[in-house]
Amino acid sequence: MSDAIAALSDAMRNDAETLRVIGQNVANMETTAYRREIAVLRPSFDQVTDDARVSAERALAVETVVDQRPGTLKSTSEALHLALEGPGFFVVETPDGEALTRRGDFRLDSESRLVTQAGLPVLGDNGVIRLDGATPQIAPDGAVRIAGDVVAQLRIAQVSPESQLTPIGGDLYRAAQLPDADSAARVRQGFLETSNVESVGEMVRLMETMRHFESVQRFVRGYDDMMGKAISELGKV
Amino acid sequence: MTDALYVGATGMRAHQTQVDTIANNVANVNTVGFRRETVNFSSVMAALQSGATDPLGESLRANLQTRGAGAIASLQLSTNGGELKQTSQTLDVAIEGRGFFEVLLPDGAPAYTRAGALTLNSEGLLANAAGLPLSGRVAIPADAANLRIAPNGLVSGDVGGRTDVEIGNIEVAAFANPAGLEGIGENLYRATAASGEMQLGTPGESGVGTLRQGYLESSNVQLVDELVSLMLAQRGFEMNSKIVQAADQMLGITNALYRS
Repeated sequence: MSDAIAALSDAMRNDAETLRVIGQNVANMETTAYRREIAVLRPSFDQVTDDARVSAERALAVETVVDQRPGTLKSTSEALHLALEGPGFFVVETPDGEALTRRGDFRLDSESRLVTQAGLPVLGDNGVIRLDGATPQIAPDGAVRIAGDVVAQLRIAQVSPESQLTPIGGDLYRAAQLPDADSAARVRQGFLETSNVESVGEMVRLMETMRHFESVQRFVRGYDDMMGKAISELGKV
Repeated sequence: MTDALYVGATGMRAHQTQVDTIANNVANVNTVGFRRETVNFSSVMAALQSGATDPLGESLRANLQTRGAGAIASLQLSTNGGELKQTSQTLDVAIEGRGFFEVLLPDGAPAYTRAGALTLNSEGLLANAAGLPLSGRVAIPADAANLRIAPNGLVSGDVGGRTDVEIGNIEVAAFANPAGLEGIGENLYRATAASGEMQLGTPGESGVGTLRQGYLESSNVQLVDELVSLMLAQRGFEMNSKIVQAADQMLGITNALYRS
């Protein structure tokens, strides 16, 4: 295929991928502590190398990064709803090891352990937290108290800004480097963090993507017309 | 393009669930002992094949790669109690605390309810409004008068000319995770694996709550909250439908590339 058509069809595929990212954000507008994804075009150096050009099955040039701006805190007055103020993550135990989450709509499971809505145990400094059905008081430093006695200390992990976070579904994240230091984030009991998706921003990006897609399509057709003309006119003697 | 189509569809379905749930909550704003349900949204990610290589032969990032695949909604029972309202009816009993009355279904299986508008069924047993007996099988003698139900569940009354005769006890069931109970209609709930083991206890002990005669627990649905959620859900549904439309439009534009 010619260079121009290859580049244009890439652009169309990237727009389709961008639309998926926008769709993902819009679908999660009301997901507690969801952090929006940003579609980023990878620098197109490898797009112009010959190797890349011949392969039709090449990787998409759109990458997603997680927008780490916090959502707002919303009061729910539920004792087991926790929000983090400041950068930091709760640590939960999954079948594949520890994962991070900002989502604090916790509950008790059938064994009175503090778990996420999906049933994954929330970890404290001494592992799984058990509450025996009593309503705990949770201090901003993460100390869990029942009737004044500290029964557990929530683990709040700090993730360095440059480390890449990979969302693994269910609003959990894996960090490339494991977090080491404790975070300065404060725990707010009775609050939840809302999704940081802004409907206006997503709709504007949707318009932008669709118009870009349309104009690229015009270019492809224009190029096609040009080729058609070249074939019919140049052949004439 | 079809990815975005399906991602938008999951968002529409999740918001549809929310609208349905709000409708059910609003319909039960006056149901005694009703507990509203809330919708939890959760994001879904699909894992990309690991070990895939890009055309330049470099392996993709060693760590896991994922891409968004939409949202799903799940339901959860609210555990906040409704307000108690005074009715002064002898057999209206509210539970102050987190417990439930245990009643027996016609097939003998237990079910749980917060609705304490009790009645006497055809066998003279204390029963819920639908006539299902409390599991403690408290039989009220036909000539009993001045029935009293103490905060600890003790039922007493004047029987056969004697005052303050003990008639029976009402026990209250508690769960480690009442939010995991499953609604089976008629204001009844069933225990599930998520709710944990049921513990039957005397009211006032082990934190199951105390009884209050002459009161009923009203529905814990807050109309204003529900209507605000309804607006959000409707707009969310609309926005997700825009994504589906846009994806469809993209497919149309792609098809228009080729002119015969």
